[in-house]
Amino acid sequence: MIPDEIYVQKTIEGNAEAFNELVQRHHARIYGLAYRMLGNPDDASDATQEAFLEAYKSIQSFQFQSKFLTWMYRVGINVCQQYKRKADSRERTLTSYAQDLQESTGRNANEHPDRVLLKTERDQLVQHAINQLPSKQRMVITLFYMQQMKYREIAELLDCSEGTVASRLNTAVKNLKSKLEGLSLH
Amino acid sequence: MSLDCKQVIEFFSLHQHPDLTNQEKFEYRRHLLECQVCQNEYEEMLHTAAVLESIPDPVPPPELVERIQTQIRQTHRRSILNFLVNPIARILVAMKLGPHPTFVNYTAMLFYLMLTIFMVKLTFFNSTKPSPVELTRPLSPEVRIVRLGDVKHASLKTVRIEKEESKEIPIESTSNDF
Ligand SMILES: [Zn+2]
Repeated sequence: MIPDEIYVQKTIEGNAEAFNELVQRHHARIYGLAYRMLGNPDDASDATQEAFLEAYKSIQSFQFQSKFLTWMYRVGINVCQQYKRKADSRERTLTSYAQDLQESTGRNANEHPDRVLLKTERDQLVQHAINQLPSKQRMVITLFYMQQMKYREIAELLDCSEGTVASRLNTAVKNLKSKLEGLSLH
Repeated sequence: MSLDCKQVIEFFSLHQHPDLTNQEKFEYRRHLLECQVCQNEYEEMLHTAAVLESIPDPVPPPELVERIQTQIRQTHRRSILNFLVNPIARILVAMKLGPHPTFVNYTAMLFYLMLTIFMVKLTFFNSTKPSPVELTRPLSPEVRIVRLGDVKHASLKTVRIEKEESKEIPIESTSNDF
């Protein structure tokens, strides 16, 4: 397989189809990241599209020192964080309403009609639990468990030490533990 | 070296701190084998991790890739157009310095627009005839122009009288007799 960096070089030289090959290769992973970060398919699609457009426009700034995918993840994370900030201010009232409802009825929010977004109840419950994590913990959980990245790669991506990644992962798993306790593995 | 449970749970649950020495790892592991509280905690975290790993990757909608690729092609075409419109941006990009080409293009477009407005104004809205107001306007008090026969003009501060010299341009007679 032709390495990504060859396509990046061709893109810099003005070949848009070379970049589209990179879109073909990696859009699913960036979509996966966006989905876990933003919690719903519509925002995930829009954020993925925006991330690739942003990457295409700033391809000149790619330094060829890291992998293209790592760089692409960084662009994706930035776009998702911007989305999250916008969505947070937009949906704060809705979320607090959902949480109030959950607390008052003692039921899971996945039973709330507005929250029926995922195919199965189980996946939905996991996603809902991830959505409630603070942004940094959600990020490491997504990158480690869903994107199968190593400590070193995550540390490089998030500009922190591997120790920080490990302790964030521990905290995040601990936070999720009580929420996912009753779930079976299949 | 004795460890308390809090430390074990903090540093040796699922995600070992990468800076732990072998000795420390050994101590944590031994504590974990002996302590029921930590074992339970560890088991629960293991279960949570397994749940996280078991959920399937979200599948992007099938039209997404086409949507992105179409937008990339459109952006590419637009950038070609910009390049043709503005050679300055082309040079800057080729030299890999200076501001972003888009910025240069917009600045250039603004410049061209202002130039056009200026030219249009100059061509259509600039009459060379002096307006009637200007005709009746008094001259400034310091300077009076006095016409006295041959005298061209005079200033009150430094009186200067110039005579118009009638220049006679001598006609060169070139004799080209053949
Ligand atoms: Zn213990």
